[in-house]
Amino acid sequence: MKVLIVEDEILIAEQLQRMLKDIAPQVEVLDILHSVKTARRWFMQNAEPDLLFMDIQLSDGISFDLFNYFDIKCPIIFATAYDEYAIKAFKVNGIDYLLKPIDEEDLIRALEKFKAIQKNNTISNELLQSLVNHPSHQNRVYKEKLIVQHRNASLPIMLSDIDVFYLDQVIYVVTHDGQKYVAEQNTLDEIEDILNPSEFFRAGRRQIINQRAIESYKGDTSGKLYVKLKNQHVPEVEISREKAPVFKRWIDR
Amino acid sequence: MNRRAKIPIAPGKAREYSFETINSDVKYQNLISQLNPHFLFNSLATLESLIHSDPRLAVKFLSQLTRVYRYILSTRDTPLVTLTDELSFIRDYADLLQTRFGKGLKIHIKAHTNSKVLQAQIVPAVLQILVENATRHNITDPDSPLCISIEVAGYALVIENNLQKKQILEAKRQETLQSLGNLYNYLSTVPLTIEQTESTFRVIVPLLNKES
Repeated sequence: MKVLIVEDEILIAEQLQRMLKDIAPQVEVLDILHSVKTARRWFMQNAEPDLLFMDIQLSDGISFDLFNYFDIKCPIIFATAYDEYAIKAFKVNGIDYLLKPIDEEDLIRALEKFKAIQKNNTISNELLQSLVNHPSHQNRVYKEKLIVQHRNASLPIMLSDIDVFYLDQVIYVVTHDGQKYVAEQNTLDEIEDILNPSEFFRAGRRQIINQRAIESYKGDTSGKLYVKLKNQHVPEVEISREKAPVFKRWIDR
Repeated sequence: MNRRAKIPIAPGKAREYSFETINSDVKYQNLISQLNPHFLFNSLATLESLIHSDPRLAVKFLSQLTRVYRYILSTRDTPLVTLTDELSFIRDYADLLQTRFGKGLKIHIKAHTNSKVLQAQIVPAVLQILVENATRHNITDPDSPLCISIEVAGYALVIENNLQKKQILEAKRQETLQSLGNLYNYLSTVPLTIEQTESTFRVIVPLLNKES
């Protein structure tokens, strides 16, 4: 059973990890993530865990924000220090939550609930959606333009015109009409931070692709995916076996 | 000028009434932030973890947590305390936060100063309110730590942090700083001032003289 812990206080996360090890030795803690930012990156690069433990207030924001970026389907057990407004809603809807410091018996009960849910495989995402749409978690407004370098000048281009970003010492930006520019940013992570994740997908370490630029994709026996773009100037983009399910979820919405 | 630092006891006069209103407002804010259940339960969760991973640190953490709560309770009805007492309290409080947030938080207290300033008076737990306010509203991430400095400058304390706001759950208690300001307007001829730029947030708390 693969578990992910999203908790901003490392000592508290470690204690949860210890307790899980004690009471459920079959649990494998994949990672401990302390911020919305690192969690976003994790979900871009990894398939969902079987179970997610999540605090609500993280070191850089609120964990509900993740639901704006990802359609997370795995069961979630919220762990928080104090009865927060959302908690009651979760209680009503049967998704479990724990209060910190976590009581061992509560944790055992939560894991049993998880097993029962796993059998039925029915999780209410409507509630999560309603939380995400809460006025205090309004969707982020994304930039429309990006400044790129072209013939020693700075040029603003529309993000929606960009088909692909790729890293080859510098970051190249290829637009729909086949033009190639150099981005001002140094890493794809920086680029990723300004993009709307429903429009752009981090295909691997070297590429970010625009949903609208995709013509087709096909898999091979190893589980990898090959994405063909409409743009003739861009070679096929390869997506790893691990990321393939994330990509499929992203494209099929 | 420091007649104002005297805390009026006799009831009835309009000004004293207004002081008490303001003072009870601050006390109320203090209570909310000091007995902040998030702080308490997260501290207890940290303590639980330390008991397993580092019993020595657990004992230290527990002592500090105890001293913090004892200070809060014992100064409940104390209008002013010496800077020495307040600084020793804030060191405990800062240590607790430091243990919890690790590299996401840096608190520097610079108060190597002469004893005259250390005997100056300050509203109890004002530093805790300001530090808590900073950690509540700002990112405390090892990749971009929150840096808080507390420094004696002349006859005032300067509490400054880098501004890197995060989204927070309940955005209610904005009036905390306002009521502190009101209280200082009453206590001191020098106001409590807040200076905010794009990248920093600074509060200057005037120090008060002992009532003469």
